[in-house]
Amino acid sequence: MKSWLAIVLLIGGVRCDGFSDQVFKTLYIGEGNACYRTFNKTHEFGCQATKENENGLIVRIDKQEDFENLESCWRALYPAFNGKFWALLPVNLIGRNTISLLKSSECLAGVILYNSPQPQHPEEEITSASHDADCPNAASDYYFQNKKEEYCERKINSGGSITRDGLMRTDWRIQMVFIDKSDDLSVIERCHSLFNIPKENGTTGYPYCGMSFRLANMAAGNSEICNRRGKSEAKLFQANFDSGEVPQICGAMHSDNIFAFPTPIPSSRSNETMNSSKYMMITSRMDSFGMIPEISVGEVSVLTSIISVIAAARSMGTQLEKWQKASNESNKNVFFAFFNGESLDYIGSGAAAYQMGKDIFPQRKIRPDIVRIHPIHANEIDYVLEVQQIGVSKGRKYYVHVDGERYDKNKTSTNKLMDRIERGLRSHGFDLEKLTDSGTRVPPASWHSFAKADPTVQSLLIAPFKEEYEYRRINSILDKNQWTNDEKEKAIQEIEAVATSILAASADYVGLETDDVVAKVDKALIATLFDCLIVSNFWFDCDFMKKLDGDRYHKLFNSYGFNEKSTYISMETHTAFPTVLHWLTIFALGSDKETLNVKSETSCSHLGEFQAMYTYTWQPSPYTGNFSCLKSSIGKKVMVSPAVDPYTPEEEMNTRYSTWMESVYVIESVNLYLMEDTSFEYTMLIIAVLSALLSMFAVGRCSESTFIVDEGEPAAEGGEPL
Amino acid sequence: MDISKLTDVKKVDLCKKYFLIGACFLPLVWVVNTFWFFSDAFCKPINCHRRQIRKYVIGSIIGSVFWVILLSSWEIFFQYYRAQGLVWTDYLTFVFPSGRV
Repeated sequence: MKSWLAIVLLIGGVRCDGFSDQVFKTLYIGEGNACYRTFNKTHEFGCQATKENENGLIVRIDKQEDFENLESCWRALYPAFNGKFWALLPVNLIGRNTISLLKSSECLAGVILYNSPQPQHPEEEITSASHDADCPNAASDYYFQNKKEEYCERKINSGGSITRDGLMRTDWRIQMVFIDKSDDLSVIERCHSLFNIPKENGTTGYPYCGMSFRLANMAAGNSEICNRRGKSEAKLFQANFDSGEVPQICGAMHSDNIFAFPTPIPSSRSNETMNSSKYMMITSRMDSFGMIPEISVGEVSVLTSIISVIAAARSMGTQLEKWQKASNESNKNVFFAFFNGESLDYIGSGAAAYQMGKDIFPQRKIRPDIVRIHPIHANEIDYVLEVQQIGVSKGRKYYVHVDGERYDKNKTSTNKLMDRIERGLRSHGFDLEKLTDSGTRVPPASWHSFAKADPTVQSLLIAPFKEEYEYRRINSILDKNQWTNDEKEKAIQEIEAVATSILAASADYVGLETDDVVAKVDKALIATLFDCLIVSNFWFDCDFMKKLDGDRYHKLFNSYGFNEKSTYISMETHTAFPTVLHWLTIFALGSDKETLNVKSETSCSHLGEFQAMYTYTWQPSPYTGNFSCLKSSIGKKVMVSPAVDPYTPEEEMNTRYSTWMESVYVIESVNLYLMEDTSFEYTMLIIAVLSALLSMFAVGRCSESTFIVDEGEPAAEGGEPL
Repeated sequence: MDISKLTDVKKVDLCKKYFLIGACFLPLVWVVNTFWFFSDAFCKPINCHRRQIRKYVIGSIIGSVFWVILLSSWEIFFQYYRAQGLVWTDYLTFVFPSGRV
């Protein structure tokens, strides 16, 4: 019994669990709320915990002038402290003039980021916050790869970028953690104000409020190294005692891409040769990023453009028969493609272009019991019509970007389409400038992936910028606009105008008359989607989205990322947005005309068996909340960049496809504690040693009789009655 | 084993055995042989048995130094290239460092 007690006490004493809550105030940090490591083919980026940057004294940087203290390492305020600092910093103070100070500081352990209580409007000069680079990325841009221009010959984001090569491509020495909960933030602020603010006489002294935080990445180097090390053949001797499997140390960024075909593409029961069709691909990217990826919403980077495409799709979906008839007659089709991972060197469109080259797009697996869809090849795509950064135009002007060289080869039909786009925009009071000089280059867009695959694919990029981005927060944590009522109304008008122009161009392409009925866009739907996707704090906060959800969402997903409003792609498809967009696309293009007699989810799912082109989804109407079986030809496909896809047999790491990967990491909680002077620690250690020695001497001198207090006990032991 | 109690003949035999075992890619045996028989080889009056011991000890010293140079060179060479994350160095690595190349 005594030995058991000793073991329990020993274990309890060694673990010190009983004391940690008395020593530390622990704040839980969710995954994705701290900066971690990412890789491309040649470099590692992001943050990593080391012995030097885990602990520090908490200081505040509330305004621009406070960065002077960072330069002097707060020595004037804390002369007796020689350690490192954790700086409490609002997100909007990370800018061009401060980034070099944060990067080069020798005394900074890390930064504790939080959303400023006084957000700054994007129009303000100081808020240039884009994490993208000044120039199109050399690793993925069509023009660099074809040696048509030198790197950074053409700048597209010099007004908005924080650093020339992009903040996402920064390898930090410090750590970063984002505090989302106001309660946690107030605990840190209180701790700082109680112990770290100088007294009235300007002096400070121990104890200080300190903080520790640790995010340890498993992988290092670059995506090639971490990809290789994750394979069983990487080592001569495998020693994985725990599971016998090679532990994952990093993963390729990948997620769902959504493809919607309003007009069915040719299919057959056999492998017979089919007449090829021509296609216009209407596309919009569905991902954005920021330094703390999971809090990067991408309002203008992603959402406004998505709304315009969804609105156009919905308008098309209400008159599918007209579109299908016109497509059948002209043998020209339009389809919608929402690509994921476009902000990270076109993961989605690169994978789609690769699959087109391998005859496996859109149908990857050919089964004998289902029909074979005619594979779409890159040379069958006439146009990639993409919309970007809708809702933030200066004045009422839009631009259409084409590739000058390709345009020169096929002016007539492209001019016709551009005229339709112009008419669509003009019908809502917006102008269009056509950038069609022979030297015109297409800004970063999904078109580049297909341009590399085929020399005839043409671009029609509708955007509110000419040569350089006007919006200064593309791909950043701060891509959360402070919409005034006027700006919101103008943004909705822009979305409506762009949706109309998409419809007009599509109708002209398939040979449909662009009458009022075809080009009618539901403005009320746009306003609703704007409120639901942009103004609301989460995807399913508004009534429209709640009804569309129909209690499906939380039954399906329970992971951390599914509760964050983010459009970051990540490596585990841990974000909700692809599902949100998939359901919205089904709502826009799905039809229950042929399935009115289907009254249950099971019967609806049975209809989809052995189908290649069509899917049947049991989904509620966002207007009524009533479920029905919607027939559509919409696919949600997980796509991995061919460069890092383990199932890509003959492809190796190359620069043609995206090589972005993400490290597996272990994140610990933030611990606040009181820092004492080192001399105090030595004093306490000496006292502890002395106490231990005294205890040993005291116990060593004891005998059994020492502890017998009751005088009657020895007599009782002697056999005398008590 | 207390070799001081052994006869010179047995010491020669033992020293020779250790030298030959060390020659089978076991440099640590040469190191042991060197330390074990150094005093007999160099610090005591010479005789025919000790001359033989000296021969094996010198052989063991040369072999040990050779192995030290060889292993040190390999270690420096391997660690230099291992830190670059090359394919062949990864292949020969037993445990990959966490969070570092």
